[in-house]
Order: sequence, then C-alpha cells, then structure tokens
Amino acid sequence: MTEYDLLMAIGDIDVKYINQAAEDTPIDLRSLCEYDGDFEMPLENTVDLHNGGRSVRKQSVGFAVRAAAAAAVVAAVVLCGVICRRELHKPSSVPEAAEELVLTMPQGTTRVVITDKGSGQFVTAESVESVGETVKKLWSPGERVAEGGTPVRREYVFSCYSGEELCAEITYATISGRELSVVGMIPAADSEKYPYGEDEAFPEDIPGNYTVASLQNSDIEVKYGNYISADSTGASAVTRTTDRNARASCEAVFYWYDTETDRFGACEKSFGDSGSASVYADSLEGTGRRYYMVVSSHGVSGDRQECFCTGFETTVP
Amino acid sequence: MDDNQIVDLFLARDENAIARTAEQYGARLRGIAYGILGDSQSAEECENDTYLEAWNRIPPHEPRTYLFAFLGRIVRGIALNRYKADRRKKRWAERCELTMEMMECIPSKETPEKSEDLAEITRLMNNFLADCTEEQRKLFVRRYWYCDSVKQIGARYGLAEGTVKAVLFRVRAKLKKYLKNGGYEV
Repeated sequence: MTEYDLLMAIGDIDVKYINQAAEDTPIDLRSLCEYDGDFEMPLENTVDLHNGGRSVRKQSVGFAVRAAAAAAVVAAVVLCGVICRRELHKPSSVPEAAEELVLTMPQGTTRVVITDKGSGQFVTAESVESVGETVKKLWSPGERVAEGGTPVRREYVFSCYSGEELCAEITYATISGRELSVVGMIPAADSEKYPYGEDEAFPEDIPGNYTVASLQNSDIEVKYGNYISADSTGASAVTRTTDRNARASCEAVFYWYDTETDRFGACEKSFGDSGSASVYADSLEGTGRRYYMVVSSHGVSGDRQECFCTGFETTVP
Repeated sequence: MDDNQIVDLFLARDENAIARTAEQYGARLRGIAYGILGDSQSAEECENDTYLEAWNRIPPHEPRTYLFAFLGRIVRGIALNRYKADRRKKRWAERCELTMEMMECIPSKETPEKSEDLAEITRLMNNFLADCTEEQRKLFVRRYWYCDSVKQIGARYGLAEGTVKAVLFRVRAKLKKYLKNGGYEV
C-alpha cells in the first residue's frame, strides 16, 4: 500500500462525510480531545483534561472568541470572493460581430483548412478554446488574411483526446451571413504513432532542429520540452513534456531560412494558457512571402502539457 | 443556478454547463488540486480537465444531489494521478506534505509499493470514519479529502494550528491501527 492508494481511497469515501465537512458548524472542542491513550503525543494548545475541567472552560471561551473572529473573517473573505468573482467573470473581450464555429475533431492532432464560401477567402482565427470534448473557435470577421487577392490557405492545428475514436463532428457557422465550411481535415501522421497516454511514447530529450517540409530550408527548434514528431508534411511539430513546470513546457521557437531571399525569420511562442492558441506572423518585408506559425498550447489530463506548432507560408498580394 | 439545473445542462449537452460549474465550484476544485500539487498552474489545469471528465461522465451519471462531491472526486483523482506520474518520473523535487502525512498511516514500512484494492481500502476508510467522532471526521475529511491546509482548517473552525495538527496526528494513528487490523500489513 502506498500513500497514494490511501489518498485515492479517501477520494471515494461516503458522500455524507464529504457534505458533513462542508458544513460550517463549529467544532466541539471537547470531542476533539478524546484521547485513546495508546500512544504518546505532546498536545499543543489543547485542553488539559486532568485539570479539573477549568482549562476546558477557558479554552471554550477562547474557542468562542476565535470562532466569532473566524466567522467574521470567513464572511469578509466570502464577500470579497463574490466581488472578485463578479469582476473575473465579466464577459471576455470577444468582438461583437464574432461568430462561433464549433469544430469537433477526430482523435489526435488534426490540421483543418477552413474557407469562407461567400468570398472564397480564408479567415483568421481570433482565439481558440477547448470546451469539453469540442474545440471552439471564435472568428473575427474583420480580420481577413488577404482582401481581394488570391485566397489564402489557412491551416489550424487542433487536438482532441477523449479516448474515443471520434470525439466530435464538424459543424458550420456563418460570418456576416456567409457560410464557412471545412475544406479538409488532415490527421497528423504521428498521432497514432505517439498516442496520448502511453509513457513509452515519450522519447527523452531528443534535441531540436527539424526541417519543415512546407517551408523549404526551414528549421524548427523546440526550445523547451521534448520534441515528439513532425507530421507527414513536416509542417507541424508537437512537443510534449512531463516537466512539472508547465510554464517552460510550451515555449517553442520556429526558425526558418529562405534560400531564395537569403533571409532569416523566427517565431517564438511563449507560455500561454491551456487550451489557448495564438497566431504568430512574421513578415519578411519586400520578399512577397509571409510566414505564419500557429501554436496552440493544450493542457491535457494527467501530467502532460502539449504544444502544437504549425508553420506555413502564404503569399502576400 | 442549483446543482440540479447544472446537471440538466450537462445532460442536454449544453456547454453552458461548464461555465456554470466553473462559477459555482471552480475555486473550490482548484483549491483541492492545489492542496495536492502545490502549484497554481497545475491546479488550474486539473480544474479544466475535471470539467472535461465531468462532461464525459454526465450522462450516464446524474449527480443531482452530490455534484460537488462528484466533481471533487474527479479533481482529486486527476491531481493525484499527476502527482504520482511526476513522482515516478522523478521530476517532483519535493514530497507533497499531504502524502507525507499519509505515509504515517501505512502499517508497515516494509510493505512493497503495489496498488491495493482501492474499493476495499475505501470500505475500511468508511468504517474508520464512522468510528471517529463527528469533529474528528470533519477535520480528517477537510485535510485529506478537501486537501485544506492545517492553517485553513484552523481558521475554518476557530482552532489553533497546533490543535488541528494534534488531532490529525491522533486520527492518523488511529487509522494506522485500523488498517493494520484490516490486514494491511506484511
């Protein structure tokens, strides 16, 4: 038996004990001082039951005073908590015109290409958050990647781990009255090779520097965490780490070097909240080429943080 | 919104269930995870994973009358699994205070570390708690189920920290004896 077993077993105790401990009824101090007498333990600040009961009375008075003070503190804390909670739960700054596109994804990492049917253009993700089994994507209609030019291909990397083969389905949404559709879903080649939940799937500290096939002559360097895989196109990298310090686990840097222009660029993703995603762009001015990196850091159950990074290029009109 | 309504949202597969649950119980769930892991970021991740797990479990479960206990069990499990995994990988620099205390309850230090039948230990634990006084039980459950710190427990019940420690020490000793009598010794 381990201490872990004990704590796990305590987790499943009868609900009535859990509810009872949630009550704020005062503790009967005398009850706490019941002494089995079969072991010795210096009692600090407890009642001396062998002193004619006087200490019990004194302690009871002290207890009442402390209980009253504690009740006042608890009330103040609760009040502050309510106020703070109201502040903290104000609606986030989602653009008013934003529409939701709810994507439900197959198991594993998946790249998704989405187009705006009305204009043929692809739109920029405002934010991504993971809710339950689905990945919710908020769109800001004001942010187009390219206006009036060649439709720009956008890819987003999501993950959905539910232990099921399929944990959701694709639906559609509209933006400014136009229908959005999912053009394609590309399962990451290595999601099966490195299924979540198997420790042995985590190679230890493989050094970084990886070629990104879709960005010729480009490299990925995973700054922190263990590099796991690039998908079949080499366009995305997945890092996973068991590092306790989650802050370090989702920091990654993508570097690329463009041999045509002899230019160098980089995107850096620093720590982000679980379930969030960011779009990073770095333009090589004057080259007509623009490089993007999408990084979604995703907290997964258990002991891992995952960081999905995809780099790709677009043409600036 | 009461628990019944929140469970109805889960059953209807309404994602508002997550937000309502977070409003109602988020801080308490984080508190439990923090008590085990001692790290705010990890606790927040455990909280988020708890919502996902609740989403997966409701239905078939319908914890209308025990939603918080239901969620609390989930978050404890997630946090403890995380703790265990971190410890196994030796990435955990310090032992959790909570687990150090639990080690005192293990009847024999020579017992090999193997997973026991949790259902049986839970049964013993329930019997043990039934044998405790209500007050001892409250302190024990606050410390080892809610994962409150000694200081928090003291503040909650108006007790000196030393008193809380002393009572918990006694209860742990009693639990050790109880487990020993239940056959948990080499």
